[in-house]
Amino acid sequence: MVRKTVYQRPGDPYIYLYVMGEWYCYDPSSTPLGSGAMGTVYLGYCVKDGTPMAIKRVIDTYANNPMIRARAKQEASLAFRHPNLIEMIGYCEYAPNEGPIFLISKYVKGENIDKYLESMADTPSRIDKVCNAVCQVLNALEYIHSRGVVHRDIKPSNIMIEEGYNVRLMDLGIARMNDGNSFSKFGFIGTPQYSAPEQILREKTGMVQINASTDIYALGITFYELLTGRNPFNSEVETDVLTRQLRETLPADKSIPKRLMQVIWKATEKEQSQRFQKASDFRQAIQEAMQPPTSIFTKIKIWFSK
Amino acid sequence: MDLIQIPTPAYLSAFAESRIGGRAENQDSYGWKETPFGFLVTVCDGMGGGPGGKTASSIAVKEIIAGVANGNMEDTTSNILIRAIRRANMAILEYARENPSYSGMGSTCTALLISETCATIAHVGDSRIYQIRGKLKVYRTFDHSMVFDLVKQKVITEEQARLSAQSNVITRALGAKYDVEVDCAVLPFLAGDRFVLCTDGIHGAIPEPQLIEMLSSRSQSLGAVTDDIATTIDGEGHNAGGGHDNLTIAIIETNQNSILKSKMNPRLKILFCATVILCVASIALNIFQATSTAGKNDETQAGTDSAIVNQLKKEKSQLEKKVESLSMEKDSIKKESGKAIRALKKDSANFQQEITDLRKENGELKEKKD
Repeated sequence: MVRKTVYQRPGDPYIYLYVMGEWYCYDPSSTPLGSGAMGTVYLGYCVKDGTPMAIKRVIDTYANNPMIRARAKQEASLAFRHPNLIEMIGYCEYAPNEGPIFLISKYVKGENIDKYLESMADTPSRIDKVCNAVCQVLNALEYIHSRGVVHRDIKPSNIMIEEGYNVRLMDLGIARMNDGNSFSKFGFIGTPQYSAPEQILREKTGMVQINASTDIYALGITFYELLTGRNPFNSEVETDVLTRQLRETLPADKSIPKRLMQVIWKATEKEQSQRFQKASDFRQAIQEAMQPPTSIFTKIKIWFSK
Repeated sequence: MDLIQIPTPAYLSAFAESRIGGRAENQDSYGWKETPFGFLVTVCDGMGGGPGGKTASSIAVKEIIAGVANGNMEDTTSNILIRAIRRANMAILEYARENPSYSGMGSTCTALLISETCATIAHVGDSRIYQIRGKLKVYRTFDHSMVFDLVKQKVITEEQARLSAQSNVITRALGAKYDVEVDCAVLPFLAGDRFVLCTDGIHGAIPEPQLIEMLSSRSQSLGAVTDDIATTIDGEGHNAGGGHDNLTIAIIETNQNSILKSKMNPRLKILFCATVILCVASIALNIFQATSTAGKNDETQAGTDSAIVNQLKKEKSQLEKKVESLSMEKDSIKKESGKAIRALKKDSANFQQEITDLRKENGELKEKKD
């Protein structure tokens, strides 16, 4: 007998989900915590101890697409444990490969980074806060890249600030293993405003591939947006956004210190090979740019000491 | 699926073929029907999970055929086709609403409604319609896809678009939303023109010039051309490791000219206008050059004339001087001749006197002698 994994009792607003040997529940009539590319996230609980959980219900339209279903399962199966990543618990489907699909992850009490930064617009500490958050995202990227996974949808709405200080990267829904199946044929993968040129122009059988530098490009654009408060390539027409991604360089902005702007330019080079190749290189460049400029005297002193 | 010869009216010949490619299911569908408005052929490419893709494309074909067959007799063929496609869109959405497990399914569509008057074509999504004349592509629909939008903006080439991993991200489809925008065109045709309806499994598999070369082949029958294209693309897909898309193609060849006559091709119009402008410019330039040369000649002539006038004036004054001197000479000669005449007259009178005297003397002498 197949055990029911999705259950609703008469007269009870909660839907119960059986995942990895535990029951979780959520109220579908409650106000969602948010909406992602693939679904709506609700606040749920572990039935056993009442621990708050985040329960994402994949949009039914997508749930019927086998590739998106596979993508959702992949997100749930990424057993990553890192302080800067949302911790996944697992997934649950109404019936094997049929009906609604739910993803359960640990609940993070916090807010999106763009909303978090709104409260500190024009404050002197804003740049430091943004740099610190971006470095934490780079820690998460270094971790998933080392496991052969590319996130492919880095953007402010996928970065959470937990209790005002810890950063958590979320929505690995479209992440894929470097040598895994291609999911691209069911729609544009990523968000045009943050997509690297190779995400747009990559050939089906070409040499250009999505890799760690694709996430670095998207984080470069995100970094710029967090510092300036605006996306540099935004437009009402999606094709215009893609055109600008392919052709335009980020404009310098007075709110970004010159040395930091140089780092962002390198991260957002159109040519993959010209960017930082590793998340750690990007992080180091940010940390160096945030240091006070070294005097010539100090440089000579360092040179002699070598 | 095997090659199918489509039963058509006498002014048409048509063949169609659909293959599964390297997929588990063929989600393409096609159909045809003789209607009061002309002969209808439609090719649709379904998408969506499970049975959704095939269901969507089947609904699209069925509803488009029914929509055209029951069209309003007073309506234009364009409106009939657009209404039929919108009907198909609604039917897909309704089916998905009633059957949640089919939610998210959709379909592209291409439709050709051809009569002896004209050909009316309509499409949604990235399936295409070509009109081939001889070896030339005289018409082609523009895909409703993300990469084709970039082609329109000249950001990437058509070949880059074809090869892009994002090539099947479509911007319009049946079953996506309630108000679907349909692209429609009314085309005239000549005897021998070929209308080609195909899914992206065909046009996305090989470069367009190669496809057009194959489509325009006249060395073999229409059926052989259709089968050859499907076999070549399917074979290449399998040789490349399989997994390639479903492929469907329908070719409709016309055996007579349409009543609607061809308007000048926009390109030809541009060429014609450019030629006219060039000719006008050339004539204007020639006139300008001729005028400026004439002006210069006039100036030269004027210069020459004034020199002649001056010369003549000089000559005239010289002549006048000569005339004056001659008249003076004449006067002096007259004077002298007068004098001489008078002297001669005097001499003559003297001689006459002398003669008279001599005659007198002679008479006296004769008298004396006697």
